[in-house]
Amino acid sequence: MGGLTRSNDLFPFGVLDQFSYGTDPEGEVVNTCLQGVREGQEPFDIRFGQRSVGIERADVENNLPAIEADPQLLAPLAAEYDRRHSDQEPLDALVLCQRITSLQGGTAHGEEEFVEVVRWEAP
Amino acid sequence: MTSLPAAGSAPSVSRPSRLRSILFPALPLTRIRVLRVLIYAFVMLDVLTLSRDVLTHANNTGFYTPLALARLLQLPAVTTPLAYSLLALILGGCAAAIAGWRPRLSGTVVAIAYWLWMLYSNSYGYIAHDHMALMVAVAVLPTVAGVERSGSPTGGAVTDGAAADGPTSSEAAGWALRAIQIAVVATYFFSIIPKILYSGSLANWGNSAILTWASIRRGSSLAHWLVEVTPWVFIPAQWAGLALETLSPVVLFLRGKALYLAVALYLGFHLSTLVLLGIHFLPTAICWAAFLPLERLRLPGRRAPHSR
Repeated sequence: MGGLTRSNDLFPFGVLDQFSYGTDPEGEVVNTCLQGVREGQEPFDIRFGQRSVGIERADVENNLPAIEADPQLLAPLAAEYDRRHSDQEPLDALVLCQRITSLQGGTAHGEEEFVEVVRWEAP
Repeated sequence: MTSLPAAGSAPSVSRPSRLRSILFPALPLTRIRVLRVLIYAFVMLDVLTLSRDVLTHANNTGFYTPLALARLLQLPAVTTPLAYSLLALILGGCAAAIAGWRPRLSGTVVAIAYWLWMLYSNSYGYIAHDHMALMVAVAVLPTVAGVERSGSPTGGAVTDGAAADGPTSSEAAGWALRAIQIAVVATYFFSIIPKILYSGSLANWGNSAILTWASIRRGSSLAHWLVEVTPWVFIPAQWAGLALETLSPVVLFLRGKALYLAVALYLGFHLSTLVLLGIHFLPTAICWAAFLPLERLRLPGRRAPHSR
């Protein structure tokens, strides 16, 4: 059913579109990432997931436009991370980022590019 | 539905009868009994690990985008008490169903609670495409009655025992197993449609860099090594994947060793995606059990068949 409507709305009978977009062998790979920021420290990578920020990467990627419009949506992620790292200073900022790898002939080519998409600042 | 003996059918079969034997084959009730144990044990594992995100989604109400069925049911965003209530119902229902206690009742409780759980798990952005067959399985398993133990000390209680009196096969069991099998096959076969829609053609997809993309994003060290050293290997791998998906309906008509070989092939495919990409597809993989003669397995508490 979902295949005809091109929609996942009919879950569990939605469109089975995972990995259905054939990537251009000369295109690029966008890898969504998170970085935590604490005053006086280098930004550090934070993993997505229930045991880290309480949400998976795909959940965040599928809500990217909403997060860009309202970075406050990252606040619960920072809160969950702080709760799980209560022995450390709370985050001053949480950065939603992308690491972009160029492809050439279907394989990785050159250095990856780092792009800051949106930043949540602790109040 | 009528219970039928497991023996073969009459020599001349009319067309409606043939269709009936395809859709509602009389299959052993003990296969359902064993499948219930596997499916409900996996559902317990699923809600405690793979789909555990419902518990943390209670903190992410800003991400709540209810799916069509969730909107139809007017489900509010999940809360912590609601999530734990559903979890308790699922775990309790699964434990009862595994024990064989009132399989229709316990199975119905699991079906309702688990569907709600999965609606919540998938209403926050990510959609799990590996759960369709499992959700069909929990929906259809309660349609098969337990077995009446006429001589049991409980005075004819409905249980799910294998050593009970009465018919050993039923069309209800066959229909439930067929429904799960079709859902498994549909998971592969209907993934072809979006590949054509979004990539232009199956050839475009087969020749694309999709596995390179997946390897860079979430690949194991082996996958990263393949990207660096033998990136050409991904093209034949993609075509092999397409062949598996396109030919999947054939599995519905295989029997004996050919069927076992096909099941091993698909499970091997999932093993390779697990090793390379960390994608296990376990909820679908477990449902491949619906193709197998599970009645030959011996569960604790099951008596061995009498030889007469």
